[in-house]
Amino acid sequence: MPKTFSKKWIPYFLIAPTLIYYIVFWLRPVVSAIYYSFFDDNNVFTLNNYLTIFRDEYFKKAVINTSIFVVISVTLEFVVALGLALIINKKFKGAQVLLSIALIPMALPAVAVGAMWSSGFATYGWVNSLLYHLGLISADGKIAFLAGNDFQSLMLIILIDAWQVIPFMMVILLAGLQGLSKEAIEAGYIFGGSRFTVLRKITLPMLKPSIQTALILRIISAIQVWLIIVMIYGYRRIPVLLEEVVFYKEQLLGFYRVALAYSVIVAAIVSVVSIIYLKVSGAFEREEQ
Amino acid sequence: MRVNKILKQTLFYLVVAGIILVILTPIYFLVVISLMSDQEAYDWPTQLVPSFFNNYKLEIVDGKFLISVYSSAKKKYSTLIKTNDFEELQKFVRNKTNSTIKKGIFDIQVKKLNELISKNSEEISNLRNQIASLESKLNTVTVNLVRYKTQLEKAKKANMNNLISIINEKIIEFENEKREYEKQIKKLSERLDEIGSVKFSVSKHLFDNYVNFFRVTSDALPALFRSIQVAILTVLISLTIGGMAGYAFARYNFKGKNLLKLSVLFVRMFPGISIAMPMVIILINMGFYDKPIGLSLVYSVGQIGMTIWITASIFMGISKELEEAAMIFGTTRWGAFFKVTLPLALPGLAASAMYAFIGSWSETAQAIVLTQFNPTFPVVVYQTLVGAKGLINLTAAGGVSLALPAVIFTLIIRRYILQMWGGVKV
Repeated sequence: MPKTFSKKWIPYFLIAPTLIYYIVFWLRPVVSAIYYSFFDDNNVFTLNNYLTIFRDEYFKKAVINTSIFVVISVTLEFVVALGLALIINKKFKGAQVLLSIALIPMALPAVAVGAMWSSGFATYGWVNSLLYHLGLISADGKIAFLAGNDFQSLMLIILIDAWQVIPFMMVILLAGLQGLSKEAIEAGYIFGGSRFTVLRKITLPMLKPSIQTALILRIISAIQVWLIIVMIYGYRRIPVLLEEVVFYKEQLLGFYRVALAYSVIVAAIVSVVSIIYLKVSGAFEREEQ
Repeated sequence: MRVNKILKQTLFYLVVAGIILVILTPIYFLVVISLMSDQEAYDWPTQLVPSFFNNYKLEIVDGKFLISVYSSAKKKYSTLIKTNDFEELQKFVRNKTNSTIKKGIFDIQVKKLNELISKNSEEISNLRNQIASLESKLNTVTVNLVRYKTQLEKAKKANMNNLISIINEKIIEFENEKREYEKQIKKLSERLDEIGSVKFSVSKHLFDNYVNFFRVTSDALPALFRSIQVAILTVLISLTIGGMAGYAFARYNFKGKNLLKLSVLFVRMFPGISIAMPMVIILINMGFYDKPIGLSLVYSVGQIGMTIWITASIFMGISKELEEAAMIFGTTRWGAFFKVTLPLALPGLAASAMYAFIGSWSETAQAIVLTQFNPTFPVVVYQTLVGAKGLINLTAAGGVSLALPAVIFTLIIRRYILQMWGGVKV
């Protein structure tokens, strides 16, 4: 009997380091962030840190911009990534080369991407130069990419972000596609399904777990977009949630606790959205099946 | 039928080529800009390839050396510096165009130039005077043009049609005048070039920006080593801790398994940068603040979850039966793991380690908050980018240096990346 007893405890022994690590290096900072956000510098309970945020006109803008960003970018990235994954999965000549090339943006550090596009979209940057070399614009017809209105600027950020994120989503979807059973898909064709029908009725339902993984990871990180925006536009030109957090922390003196309160708000938004998504997609129930 | 098939194939490959172009063009330009001298990087349009040589033109004006460099963007020579002092000239030319003009070459050119000038001195001074007067006329015309064009805008806004036509006539007149002056100046300049200047070309130091980035940005080299240190520490922490949990996932059923699987998501829900803020205080208390170990402790929080997913997927791919067979032959559970499973899992684990390495290597946001005097490499590049908006070629060089190891590592583990994600199911 002692043997079975010890056997039962092996997994808990194996996951213990992870749990301890999470408690010390994740839970502790999170709890202290939440705690500090409700107290002022003299350790008196206050809601002022939160009120400062709600009174800030940029808060509303940040919520709106972030929402637009998440909806459009996640949709766009998912559709394109799925298309790419289906193409590479076709196993044509050069599929492996295409995969290698597609992985490059995924490997690039955010700063390199920032350098690439901020030098590109400057009025005298390489994007205009390329258009000029291709004969699409005249020397006087340079496009002022970064001078667009707020919505256009946000779209530009979405495109830049998509360029980097699509490969990451594609990898998850492609991994899922390669694990699917060929028989089911072939059966679909044998029974006279058109390509689109087979995709809709067989491939996509079977791919659901991978789609969920890709979407949830992407949604969580899309709500937290900020660095690329600051690198291209600077602070407060296109306010988004996390950019405001960093703005309060880095650019203003004495607003450290406000930045923490802002973090708590962002984390709450991310948690609510993710949990709704997980509930709807049924990730919690899969264990019991 | 066959034509149709060929058409379809062609279309398909066109799409693929388009995708490749969209991915590679920006990367290509980043590399090209990183190889450009200041002179080239500020020219417009940006050239499609960096130059490997610089073509110089040397003149003597008012008893001083005047050196210009050929700009392929402008299709003409642009003036660099006018000076008596060779050392100053050499330094300036090096800074602007990434070429070193050696004293020997320069002296030969000066000798050639002096012979030329002594032959044609009168014509040269005549030409210079003519060009100077033409240029002042051209300037006047250009100023007038700008003035009339703004007036035209105003007139258009106010809908004064009779005025518009008058202004338009004026503008056309001035533009013709401008073209005429430009043509004359060009003709005279060509003649002047022929009789009063020497041209020579010097090879360019192609990787000057890279050398400069590490020399000018005093932090860059120590930051590079620091980043490597942090990445290695992160790999060690996350692979040890996450690998154990990953094995538990692959082999056992236990309470809370699903919750732990979702923990990857939970730890990401609180923004990384927000974790970093209170962590500063915690790390100061531990004595780890602004040290590589402190950074890796924070980075590992994000990496552990990923490592659990990935290693679980790897261990699932190795059948349990092999371990059991080894145990039947008399090894212990530990022995079976170390003699059978671990060797089989090694390539996958190495890939997972590289994945964590890349993640740590590229991490910028948290590092900005967590470092003060000892920045990591991405932070140094970030400061160059955000702080000195002008030096795009230097920033590009930093960006390429930062990206290169990450890209190489990713391509090495390409085969495993798909396998790693294959077993990941939320």
